[in-house]
Amino acid sequence: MQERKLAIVDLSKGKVQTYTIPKSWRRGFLGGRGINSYLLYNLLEKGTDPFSPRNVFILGVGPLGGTLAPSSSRFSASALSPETGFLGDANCGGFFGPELRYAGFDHLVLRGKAKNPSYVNVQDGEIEIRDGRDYWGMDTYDVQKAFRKDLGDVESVVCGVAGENKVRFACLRTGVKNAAGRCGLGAVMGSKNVKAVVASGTDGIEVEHPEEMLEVVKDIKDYLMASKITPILGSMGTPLLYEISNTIGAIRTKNSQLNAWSDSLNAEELEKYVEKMISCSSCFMHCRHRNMFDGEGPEYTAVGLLGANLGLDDYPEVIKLNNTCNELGLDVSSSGTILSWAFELYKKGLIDKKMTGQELRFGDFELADELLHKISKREGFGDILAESSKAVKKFGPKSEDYLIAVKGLPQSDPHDVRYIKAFGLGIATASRGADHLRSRPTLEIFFRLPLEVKEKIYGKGVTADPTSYDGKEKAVYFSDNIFATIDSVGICKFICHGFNSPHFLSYEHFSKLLHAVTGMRFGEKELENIGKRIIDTERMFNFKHGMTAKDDTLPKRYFDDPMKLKVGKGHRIERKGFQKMKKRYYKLRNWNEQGRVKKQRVKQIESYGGLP
Amino acid sequence: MDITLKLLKPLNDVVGQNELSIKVENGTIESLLAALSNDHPKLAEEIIDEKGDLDYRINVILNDKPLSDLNVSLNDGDLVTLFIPISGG
Ligand code: SF4
Repeated sequence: MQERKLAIVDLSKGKVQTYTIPKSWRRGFLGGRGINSYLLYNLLEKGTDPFSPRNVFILGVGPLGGTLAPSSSRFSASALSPETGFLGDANCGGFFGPELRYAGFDHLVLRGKAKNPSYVNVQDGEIEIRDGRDYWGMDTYDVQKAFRKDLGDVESVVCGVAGENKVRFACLRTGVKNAAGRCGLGAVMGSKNVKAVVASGTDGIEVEHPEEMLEVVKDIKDYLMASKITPILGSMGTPLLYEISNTIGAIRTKNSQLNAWSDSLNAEELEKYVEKMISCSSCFMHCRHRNMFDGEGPEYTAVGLLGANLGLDDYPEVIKLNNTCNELGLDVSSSGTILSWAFELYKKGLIDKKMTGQELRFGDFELADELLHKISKREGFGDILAESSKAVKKFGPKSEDYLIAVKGLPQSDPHDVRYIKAFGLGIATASRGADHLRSRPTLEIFFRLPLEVKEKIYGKGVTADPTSYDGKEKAVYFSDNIFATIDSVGICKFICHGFNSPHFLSYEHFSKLLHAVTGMRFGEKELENIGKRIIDTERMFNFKHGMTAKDDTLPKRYFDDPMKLKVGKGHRIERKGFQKMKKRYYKLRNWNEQGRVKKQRVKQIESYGGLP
Repeated sequence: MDITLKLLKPLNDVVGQNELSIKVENGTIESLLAALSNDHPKLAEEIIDEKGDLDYRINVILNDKPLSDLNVSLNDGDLVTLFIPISGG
């Protein structure tokens, strides 16, 4: 059986230590997000400041990463988040994850802080901390080009100017648009005086049963290609979702003051500006766009949050803002949410020109672009916005009432969750804060999914009506578990069950792929249990760093203000219904009434032990 | 009676139009599907299953009301929106 390696790079001491990943960890947490979260729980002390050298920055790839398994491009980046103070974790496509494995490592931990701007070079089993002064100050595109020019055919994951300046929502970037976007991981990298991790490797990945692998992959590919959803995603990607959400009145508009916006941002309009569709490593889905303004994207998130949420309805302007975020290394979701929050606060008179230095308003492309640049450099008012939700300290306590965030993390996607209640529970309880990619039971939007099909997926007791609170904890529980497993095997959620289709890849497929690649047999139930274990580990981490059940909540506006337009009109989240749903979710997870993982379970998880 | 049928992407690509005006015999979804099979067989093929029912993966919004049960009465001038509800991303 192939060995998998983990390296701990001490940036302060300039030392690298390499370990073989214990087999028990691989059985218990698979890899990628799972092992990252377990490492975080073990390595980080209570009371650590996210920007202190004591924070750790982890990159991890799952066991399927970089193999022939479809869409196996993903890696996870994790740290204590400077945006939330809790779990920081983000998953990313592109080509870096596979390359890190070809270079000999599945997990890389950076601890301490480099004396001078540096980069970490990983090449064919060797790791070096190198002088990065020449690269410091470059944007995310230029720096990757410079590494290629200087080092040859390498893949890199970098922070932009925003990361160097510790903007709390700075992302990591690899390629033009691929981002480990959420939770400010680019800022953690920057705080360690590291500009990039660069990987290149000539070693392939040893596959335990190559013939079996070819067969399994072929079957899976045929299975996915037979789906109606596959060609749709491959021809239009996520921007298709804008029109769908807008039709049901679920597009966050002008900081969720409204819930529907212009048809001019429908995917049909975007097609005029798409050069071609492209894909990540090992992926035949090719769901992403190269745009005609020298960039990639936008995804649905950018369309909604840099479009409708900022009051913009012109596609070229939205694409340009998307490109600006990509270039500067800013998370699109937090950027769109924080800007719209400030615009509303200004309109309401809660902040004024004395603080902002200029008039703020929705629907002004130049203003938004200027502010994004200021944020990335922490210049003027940009310095306050760069604090993300922590800007409440400057804006005053009343400002929090208008902040669309959970646990300090601005909501990730443009979907207003007041109509579909399970979506609300999902973002309220997700381990990294308001985020749809952790546990959103997206199938809830299939309004005509027969109850028996729903019950088969989510379990008995789930209700058909998306506006009901009854049984919705089951839908979130299912999604939470399977998404954690997906993030830990190393493939993309896009082709997996429960996200875009009830007929995409599930535990049975993961089990076959894992056997072919690693020779290890994982039962379907066992894989589901791994997902549960990861969720519990992340909960333990969060509670260690000060989270309580009170943090599992929603923005005030979602409770108090009914939606105003279209299908969603009149809908909001009722506090009572929400609290009951949350309680039932805790019970299902076997957490105590305060949402804490029970002692016995903590002991069980801790028994996986530390590094050998 | 006349019903306006709105089709979201990619269903609109099948007929090359975002909206169709459909004449239906009586106010049921069944008669709407029958009219579609007649006038727009390609679209019907995309959205109607082997049993002759509307595929469960197609969402239906009648004016501003999403339908879980298709047993409803349509009125002259109603707007029916059809779409495939992808929502990941
Ligand atoms: S489905 Fe899209 S995001 Fe996922 S791996 Fe493929 S191209 Fe990348």
